[in-house]
Parts: sequence; C-alpha cells; structure tokens
Amino acid sequence: MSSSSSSKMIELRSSDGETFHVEETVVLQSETIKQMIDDDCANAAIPLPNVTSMTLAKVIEYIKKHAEKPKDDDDKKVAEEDLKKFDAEFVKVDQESMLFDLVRAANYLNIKSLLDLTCQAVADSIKDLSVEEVRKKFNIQNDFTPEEEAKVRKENAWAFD
Amino acid sequence: MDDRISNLTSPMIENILCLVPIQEAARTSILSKEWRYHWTKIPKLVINEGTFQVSPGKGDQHSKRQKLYDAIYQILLQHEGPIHEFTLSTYAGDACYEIDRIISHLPFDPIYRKLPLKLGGYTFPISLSPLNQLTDLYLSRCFLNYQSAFNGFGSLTNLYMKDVYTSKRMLLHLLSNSPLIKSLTLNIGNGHLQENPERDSVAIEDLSDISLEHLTELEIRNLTNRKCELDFVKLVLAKCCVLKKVNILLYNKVDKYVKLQILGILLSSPRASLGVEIICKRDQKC
Repeated sequence: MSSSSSSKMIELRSSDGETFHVEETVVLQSETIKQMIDDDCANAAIPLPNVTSMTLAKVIEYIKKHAEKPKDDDDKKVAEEDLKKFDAEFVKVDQESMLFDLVRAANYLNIKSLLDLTCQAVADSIKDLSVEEVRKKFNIQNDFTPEEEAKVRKENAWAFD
Repeated sequence: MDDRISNLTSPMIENILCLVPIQEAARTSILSKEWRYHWTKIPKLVINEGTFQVSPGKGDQHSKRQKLYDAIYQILLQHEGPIHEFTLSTYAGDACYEIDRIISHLPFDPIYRKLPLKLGGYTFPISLSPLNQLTDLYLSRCFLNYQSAFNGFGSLTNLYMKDVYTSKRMLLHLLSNSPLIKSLTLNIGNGHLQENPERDSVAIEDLSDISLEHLTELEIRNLTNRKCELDFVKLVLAKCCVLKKVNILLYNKVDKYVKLQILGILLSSPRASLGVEIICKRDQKC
C-alpha cells in the first residue's frame, strides 16, 4: 500500500454496484480511465458496467503493485524480481473463469501489461494439450461431423503431423 | 459449466493464439465450427524452424526445410487480414530464394508494419519491393551486402540489427537513402561490422555526398574498441544534424581505461547536432 496520501482519490463502481477508492496515480495505468479523467468525466464515481467487483478487486491489486516506485537503482533490481514473482502468483487463479474475466477487464480498461500477462497465462494453459483436452478444458462442443472434421484436418495437414 | 473461452471476443482469442506455437494455433481449427477460422486471423505470425520436427531417422535436413516452407505457404494461403508482425527463425543456408518469395508474399498492414527476421546464413534481399512498406525491421544473423543500386527503404523508421554481417559503407548508404529512418540499434557481435576493403580509410570529407537528415537515435551494443566501429559512430555524429541521443553499450570485457579512451574520442569528435546526448557504459546484460 502506498503511503503518499496527498494523491487525489478516484471512485470506481463495479457492475454489481460496489465502489472502490483508488489513488489517481494508480488508476492512470488504465488508458480507458485516463481518457475519462482527461475528458473530465470523473467527478462522480466512474461506472464500470463490464467489470464485476471480484474482478475489479483483482485488477486494483495488480495496478497498485505495479504503481510502486523503487527508490534507487539497487532497489530497482529487487523490485523487478519482486514484480516478476507477483505476476507469476497473480495469474495462478483458482478458477479458469477468473482468468478470462481478467482478460476481458484488462481489455476493456486498456491496461496493456495486464492484458499481456493474462493472455500469456491462458496461452500457457493450453500449450501442449491435445485437441480433445482443449475441448474438455474449455467445454467446447465439437459440432463438426466426422467428415467435416477430417476435411479441416486435411486442410491444415501440416499442423497435425 | 459454460464454454467460457468462447465468450472472449475474436480479437482477444486471436491475441491468445499468437502466443502459442503456430502449429497448436492451427490445430484449434478442429475444435468446433466457431473455432475453425480464429487462427487464420492472428495478426502476428511467429514461425520457428525448431518447432517443425521430423521424426528421428526420417528425412534429411533438406526435406525438413521443405516441410517448413510448405507449412509457411499453407499458413499464408489460409491467412486472412493483414499481418502486423512476421517472425521467421531459421537457418536459410542456400535456400535464400525461398525466403525472398515468402517475404514478397506477405500481406502487410498498411499502417502497422513490422518484420522481425531471425535468419542464419541469409543474404537479406534489400531490393524486394514489399520491404518498402515496412516501418520496423528487426534483422538478426544474416548478411546485408552493399548494392549501389539499392534505393533505401521508403517507410522504414526503426531498424534493429543483431549479429548482422554488414559494412560501414552499406550502413551509411542505407541510412542516407531511407528518408524516414529515425532510430538505428546495432548489436555488434564479434566483428559483424566489417571494414570495407575498397574504402578502407574514408575520411569524413570524402563523404560529402552523404546526408543523414532524419536519424535521431543511435544505439550500439557490444562495441569493442575496433576502429571501424568507432569510425562509424564518429561519422554519424559528424553527419547527422538532428541526432538527439547516442547510446553506446560497451562489450563487457572492455576495461575502464579503454572506456575512458572511447568516451574521450567520442566527446571530442565533431558533431553536426549540438543538442546530442552521448551515453557510454558497459553492457551489464552480456
């Protein structure tokens, strides 16, 4: 938690009506919110109709951590390592759906580093899985007939060797 | 349980598919009808020869290479929409013409055009016309040979080269003929920037025809104390009137004394741009 209390506080409201107070300097990592503040639309609570309170709490945890500034160069290396560890832990969520919610939220709020991080986590989770395993993991219904599937397989034969 | 990943928008799914090996992305085409074409719209293509394995004992180097090129043509045939980034990591060897053909077929986005190529043993085809559309070019481990007929890259703004075999003469020719070039990053391994035998001792005065009007940033990594490397930096300093920043990262075995010497040479050499900031330090990363 940052100690500088002089920064202006911004109020965010999640889709389920919960409000969060975050320092302006922290929240500026979201290009979407930055735009709203620049356009002077942030005098009241900023409504975020696409983000639930559970997801928003996670997003705030992330941007708060990423807003911490190291004091000097030595501190910088330690902070970088620390941030890497934080990121690795951050995407270890209990439910896969939370990861997708975070992808959606990062995209909507336009926080590039969070979007990169969460997309990479989804990519890592499907890497090295067979097609059947991916279907099962994400509950995707195979609506191809066996003939259709064979045709698509043939079209992309180079990828199935 | 609902099908959650399919709830993501197409651009998000495509963004994710850019991050898995291209074969795996292509295999998602048979997940379901909805998934059939997602992979064909990914904006970044990363093709790494290492991921194209032929079963052991089956096929020689040649057939392995052929398999790679066949796959690339299949990918490009299926691909829809513009490509923002194309990365090809391979050893080209004697098959440079295949890669020339591939590059000339790439559908680049008219606004956002980047081409990172990691190629071993490849002579880069500087005169291919599609390259004129590129804004960012990242080359590694290939040859960039001097051609007097080469007219520069029309749109290029950022050029990044790592372990590229080239000459001072070629670099200057490229810089002075590419009208939009703003930044050049040169990571020189051991001796990748070569003296040009015919014009070994070019004095600055002899290059009055060269003008470098746009370059604002020059970064050189792994600079040792070789004359041709320093001469190149001095030439850019002397010729480039809008230069803002020169960042020199010395090869990590260069000692303190040599570092001071190099810094002395650079600070005392003539500069066309008065506001240029020169930074010279040892590269910690190597």
